[in-house]
Amino acid sequence: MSENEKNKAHYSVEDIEKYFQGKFGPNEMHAIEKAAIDDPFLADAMEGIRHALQKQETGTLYQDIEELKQRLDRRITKKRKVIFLLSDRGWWQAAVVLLILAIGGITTYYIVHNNKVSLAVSSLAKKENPDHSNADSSKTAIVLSPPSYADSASIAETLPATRSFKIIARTSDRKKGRTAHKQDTSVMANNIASLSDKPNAGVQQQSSPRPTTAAGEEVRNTQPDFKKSPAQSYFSGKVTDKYNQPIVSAHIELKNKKINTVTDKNGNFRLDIKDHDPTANAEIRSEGYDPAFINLNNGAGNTIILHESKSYLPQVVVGYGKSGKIETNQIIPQDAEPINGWDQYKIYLDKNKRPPLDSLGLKGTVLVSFMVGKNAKLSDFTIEQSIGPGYDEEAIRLIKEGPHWKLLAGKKTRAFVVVNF
Amino acid sequence: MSTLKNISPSSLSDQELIAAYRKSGDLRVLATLYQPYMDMVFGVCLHYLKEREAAKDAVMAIFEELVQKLQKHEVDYFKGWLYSVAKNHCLMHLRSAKRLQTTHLDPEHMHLTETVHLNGIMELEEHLEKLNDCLKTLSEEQKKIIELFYLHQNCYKEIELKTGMDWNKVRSHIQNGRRNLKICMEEKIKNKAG
Repeated sequence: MSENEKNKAHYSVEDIEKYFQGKFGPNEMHAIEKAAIDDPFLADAMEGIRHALQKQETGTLYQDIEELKQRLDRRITKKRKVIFLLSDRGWWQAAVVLLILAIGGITTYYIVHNNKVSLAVSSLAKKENPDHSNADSSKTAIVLSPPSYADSASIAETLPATRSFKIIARTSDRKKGRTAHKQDTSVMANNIASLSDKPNAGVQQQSSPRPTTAAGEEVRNTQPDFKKSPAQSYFSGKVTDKYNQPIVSAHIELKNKKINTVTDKNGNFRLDIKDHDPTANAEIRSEGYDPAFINLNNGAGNTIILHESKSYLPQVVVGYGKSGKIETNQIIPQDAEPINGWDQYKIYLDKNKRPPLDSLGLKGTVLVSFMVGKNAKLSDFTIEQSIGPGYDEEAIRLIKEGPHWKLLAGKKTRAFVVVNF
Repeated sequence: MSTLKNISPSSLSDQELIAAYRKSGDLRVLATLYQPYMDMVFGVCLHYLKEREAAKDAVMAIFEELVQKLQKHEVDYFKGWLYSVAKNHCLMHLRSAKRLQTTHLDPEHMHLTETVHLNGIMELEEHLEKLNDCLKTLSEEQKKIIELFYLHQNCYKEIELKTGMDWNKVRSHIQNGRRNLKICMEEKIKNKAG
């Protein structure tokens, strides 16, 4: 036999089936057997077919081959690889990809939509801020409109969803030539993105704009692509109100509360942050104003504008500090408030709280929630966070006997009060 | 036989088809090469994967492998090479599916690749005489069966009837007989040369 003929004399599945079904005469059988002895390939194939025949459906193996021929035919006419079709996993992967794309599309739309609203506000802010001809290339102006925000590290998931807040921050890029508009858009996208479900630190600064596509993505104050400046040893600036009048004795404090200072009669301050994390935040507070947050990495020349807190707007902030407990001085977004405002309420709490006498002098915070009804009736008191039994009761007593509450949204709602001991 | 649009039987040899494929990368050429072997590949896959659907998928997957591998590797003997590609594919598949079934490999069922070589030897006329001598060295059973199979061209079934031995035993005798003959022949050749 020539090489060619030898190679081409393949037995088909049909032949092998016949062999096992006894449809061949002895001579043919012998021929196959001989071939199988010499050819391990054939022998293996015969074994496979033999077992398959033993199982059940005889004669269908031939159909399998016909099907395979069709598949092969189709395969070679396809333009690209169809590995996907051969495994279930391929479909799953495709579905996941589509899902991600869909989510991306939706959130992009959401961001763009929000952008339009914020752009109007930012152009206003631009006018209000004349003090930006500073030679320092890394200046930042932060404009805050109420309400204000908590520390980025502190978000409570259990509390009601926050309203959407508008933060407009404008950053000047290293190159001063950048147009403000461009900055606004990109930074805004960044900020808006951070707001939708997690009110974030008040101030976002970027040395370079970082667009985020997912609305729910948290824009953190620590800037991983913060590249340029060497470690700053001082953080300084000026605190003013929206009319550019200096705010005297405003508190500036590092998040870890280790370093703080106050502004002088010109509203200027300086913090020595040599040994501190430059990506940390500082909080700027003043009585009657909403707190502001600023990232430290901007070094000098910061101008911080505080806005008067308007108590009719829902107060924000939720604080769960690193320990998971609510930090002091933080209030919660809600649709009800004390009739005289939060500041007065706090004063009331401080004045009237009577920690249980058998106490160990515990310090801490009790978070109480309760329903405020239409007639300002309070009910369904729930201790959300407790420091001890006596304290919880005292907290509830304080609320019950305290100033009345009013509803902001006109409907019965749950209110939250933080009582510090 | 259904008519296929794109795959037509070729008068070219395997080697020629491989060369043509490597040059052009044309899948149709590859399919022309692969299709005659598909039956056997299917059979082998059936043997290892034990399931028709899986075997069918494997046949197609092996084709995909060929697309790449034939471009990369030099192949002299396509049939043998294809066999090992198919076998390896099935074994890998079994391993990854974590259905590692240990099949007891009965040596009686194993067809040694040496046997290919042996067939070549057996056909050479000048060895016939030595062959006769060696035949005599075999055990009675083996000798009988070898003669029945090779000299009288009996199929297994006939041998079964004639000897009363079951099919598997017949096969294993043939295997062992051949091996012994081969060893004997090689001895003789060595001795002759020396």
